[in-house]
Amino acid sequence: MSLLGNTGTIDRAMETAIREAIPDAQDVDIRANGNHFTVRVVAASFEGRSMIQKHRMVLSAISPFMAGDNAPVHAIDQLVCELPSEEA
Amino acid sequence: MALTDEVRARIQETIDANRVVLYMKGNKMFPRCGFSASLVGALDELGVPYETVDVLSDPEIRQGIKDFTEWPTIPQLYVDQEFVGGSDIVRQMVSTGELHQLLGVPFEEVAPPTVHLTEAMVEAFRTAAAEQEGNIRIEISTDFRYGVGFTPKSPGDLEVVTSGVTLLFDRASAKRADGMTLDFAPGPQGGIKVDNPNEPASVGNLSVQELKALLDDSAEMTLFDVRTSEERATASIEGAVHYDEAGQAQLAGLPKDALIVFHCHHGGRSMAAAQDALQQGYSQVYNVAGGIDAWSAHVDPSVPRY
Repeated sequence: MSLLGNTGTIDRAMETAIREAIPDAQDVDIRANGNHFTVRVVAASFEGRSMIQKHRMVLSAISPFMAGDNAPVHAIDQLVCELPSEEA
Repeated sequence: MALTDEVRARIQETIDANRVVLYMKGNKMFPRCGFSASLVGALDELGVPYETVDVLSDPEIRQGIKDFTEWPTIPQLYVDQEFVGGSDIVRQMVSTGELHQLLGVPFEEVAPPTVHLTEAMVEAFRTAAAEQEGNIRIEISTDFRYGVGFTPKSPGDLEVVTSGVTLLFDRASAKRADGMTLDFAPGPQGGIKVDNPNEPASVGNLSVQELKALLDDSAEMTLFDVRTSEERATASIEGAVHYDEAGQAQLAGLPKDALIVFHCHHGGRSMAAAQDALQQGYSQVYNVAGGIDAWSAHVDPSVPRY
């Protein structure tokens, strides 16, 4: 999987990585603003976990995209982790 | 690159020695990243003592803290040797009062702010909202820089519905937003215009086109030129007063609410003079963006460039 390419490709690559790490993710929504991203994930496996644990599940999946000075993902502006029952 | 024992020990030592530690880019006075700046703002507002570590000045720590915490981003906040979160989580914890509780600081209720939107602003927000998901979030930093974006609602957000438009604020932004008016001007020079009574007086930016309009209208204002006599002999804007000793005396004679504009060659020196005037208590101080060089380029080509 290439880490280069346009942001549309990065969106999809991030989504794939998140879905691989969290197979029961019902919804993975990634919105780009330049190389800043807003990510929303809805998954039943967040149940019973602290906010940090939930964020860590998502961040560890996408951290390869954030490594180094020229990383395609510069920052995650907002990460929302929701249970299916919390979904707005 | 694995975390070495030496780096691990240094991090452990820092978080053992300080109850609240922020690993960030830059320092309290000069945060070098917006996320770090927002956490500094949040901690300052809570009024608890905290230590900062600038990861930019130490590459080993910059990578080391990511491995130590198993967290890919900076800033990172530690309280009582425990990792609390990055900017996103901490912002939510400030909104909900969890961080106050953790640090033993009282959490006061903040009322949703009163915000006025002009018709043009309502229209612009509606148009944008039709193309975007999420709600309109307005963020106002401690130094009154504004951010507007579309994001999902977070716990603890204050929601304001005004003229049918829903706006989200975090607690700190809400306090700074109360009573403000947002206006929208279309076009390349346009954008969102903020009139916020909570904002401390600051030097305004005046484009050369705006300066031209003021001069054409014979507006009541004083335009000071802070350049040297030699530069003024080479090129000058008609009506500008040399900001020499006599010019400074003229400023001293003006009322504190007079409209005062400074210009120089490119806008740097005049900004310093404008800041100084602000310090002296003048409330309507502007700096000409781009200076006389922009004036020659965009308004009056007969003024020589040098």
